[in-house]
Amino acid sequence: MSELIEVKNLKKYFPVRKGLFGKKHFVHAVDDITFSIKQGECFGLVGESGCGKSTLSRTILRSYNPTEGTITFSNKDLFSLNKQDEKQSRKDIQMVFQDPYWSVNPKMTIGSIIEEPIVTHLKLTKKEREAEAKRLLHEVGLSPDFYSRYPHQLSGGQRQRVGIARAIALNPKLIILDEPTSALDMSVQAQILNLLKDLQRSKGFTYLFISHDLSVIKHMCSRLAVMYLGEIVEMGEASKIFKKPEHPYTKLLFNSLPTLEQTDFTLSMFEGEMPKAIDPPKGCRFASRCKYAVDACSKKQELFFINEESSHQVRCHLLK
Amino acid sequence: MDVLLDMKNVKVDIKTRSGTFAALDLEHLWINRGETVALVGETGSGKSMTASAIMKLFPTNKAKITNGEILFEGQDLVSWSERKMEKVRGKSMTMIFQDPMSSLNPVFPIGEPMVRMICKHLGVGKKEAKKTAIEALSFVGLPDPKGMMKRYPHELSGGQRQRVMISMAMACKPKLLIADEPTTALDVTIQLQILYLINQMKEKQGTSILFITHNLSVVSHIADRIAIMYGGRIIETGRTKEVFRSPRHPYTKMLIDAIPSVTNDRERLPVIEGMIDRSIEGCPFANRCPKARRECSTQGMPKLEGSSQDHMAACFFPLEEVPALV
Repeated sequence: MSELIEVKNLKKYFPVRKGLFGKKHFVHAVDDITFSIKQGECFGLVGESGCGKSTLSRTILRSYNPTEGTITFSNKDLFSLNKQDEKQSRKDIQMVFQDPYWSVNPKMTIGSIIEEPIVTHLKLTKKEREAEAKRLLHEVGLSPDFYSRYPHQLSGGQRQRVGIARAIALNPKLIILDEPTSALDMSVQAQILNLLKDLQRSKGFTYLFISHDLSVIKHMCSRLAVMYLGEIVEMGEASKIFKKPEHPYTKLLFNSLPTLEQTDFTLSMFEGEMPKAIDPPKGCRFASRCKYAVDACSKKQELFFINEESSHQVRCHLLK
Repeated sequence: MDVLLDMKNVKVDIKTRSGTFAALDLEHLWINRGETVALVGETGSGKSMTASAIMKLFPTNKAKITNGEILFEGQDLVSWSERKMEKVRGKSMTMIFQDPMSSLNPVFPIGEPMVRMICKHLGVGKKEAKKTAIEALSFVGLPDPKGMMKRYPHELSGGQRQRVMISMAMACKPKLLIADEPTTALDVTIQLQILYLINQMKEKQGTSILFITHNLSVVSHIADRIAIMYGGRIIETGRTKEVFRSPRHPYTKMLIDAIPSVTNDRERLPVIEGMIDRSIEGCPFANRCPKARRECSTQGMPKLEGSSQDHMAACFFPLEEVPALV
């Protein structure tokens, strides 16, 4: 399989100033991130709020220009495209948002919401557009009657289906799913996850799946990356990481997750929260919360492969 | 055990332009002293309406308790006046919400409402109240509790704000804490801190907790007993371990099965087809239940039944009990 998207040394800093004449500081929202997603793969991105997941996805969508680094999409650099390629790439990368209540315009009918990207990118007549929208509705498991309804008449799960229909309308290559199920009920979540899997199988979509729910990531993704404070701290095959998480932060995340299967889960107080991303420490960013931290952790940490043949990477010198 | 809160046949109706909507029809829900009871259900199942009924604080004045009794320490709250309720709210029973930002007043430092509340409910002076507030803040593990009193809500993170809410809730040593989705908006590591603190309230102060959530995995580790709600009714209740080991109501079983698991691999998740239909006479789940027969929608509402109060289900044809592993 070939790589669909390659992110290399991507950095996105936001300048902040404390006070009118204060020193300029930088929020290191995304700091030196490198990863790639293969064609037809579902790649998971896990992390707590404020770790830079969303900034990363917005940079891939080109809502932000990166401070440094490159993104190669279908063998073309995303940030130096000519006009025609740029339009094509807008078609090829689509996004599904977390909250189906806010991501659709309440004044528009479901039909016109789904038709919007078609109007922008394809030259179709009104009749063809309507037929296309109804086909898409069918594809995401909604009846064609929904065409003339309004968002407030739909439940959360149905709205999320509309969001998915809109995202797949142009037959994109990459779909960024930003917490697509975290606003939904458990039984509806299962429906949406099944739908996403079915679509992937029948259409060969590539997913970048962002979530903080590890069990959902486990269910959906073949590979995953764990982010902390703008950096990837662990990356590799999902089955391996779930079997044996290596980085102390990944371990902490896994231990904090109450699951139905665990019988020996104990509630304990884990102190500390993620520090602010303004001028983060030079060394390991997790050191302030890590129980294994030693002096050497204040030096710069690099991502490295755990062993030669595996693709499992971690950023922790204690594992070297 | 000593029962703290006992709700029997509580009905809440909401008047709308197109008629009366039966928002809640609780057959029986009780909470013992020093016990955590979890109320689990999907959106619109009546979880929050139950909390509103106990506090008698409805989101709209169109909602009204039309039937039943809510016994709190043996006294029926339904007949109480608003004046009398005000004395209990925040003191004997208190509530924390999903979004702490909307429960804290942004123009006051967080110490302000805490001191005011403690003065009112415990009848102590300002100095004494300040001391109690600082103690409460340090109990929830907030750094520099004294300085924290002067901080504004926007200066704190979501997890810290929720901890402030817990410290406020516990300052008056309430008998009942209602936690309405307290961890839904938080990250997993912070969620664990909040669950730990709520559990500490139960263990250190003997507070009874009504924990409202839609997340079954969280419930399995914090609750002693659990009640599953569907369509404004409790459809299954019992000891948490019992319910998870051998769910009797088809809905409960399907809900548990729909959760993606970290340990086993399933290509597809089983789903519950269809949508809730509140117009059904009889069992509210009948239109989506794979085991439903014709009787389900003709015999009227099923009652909560079981061999003991430790496990009951409202189903005409409950699932067979799974024998316990010895």
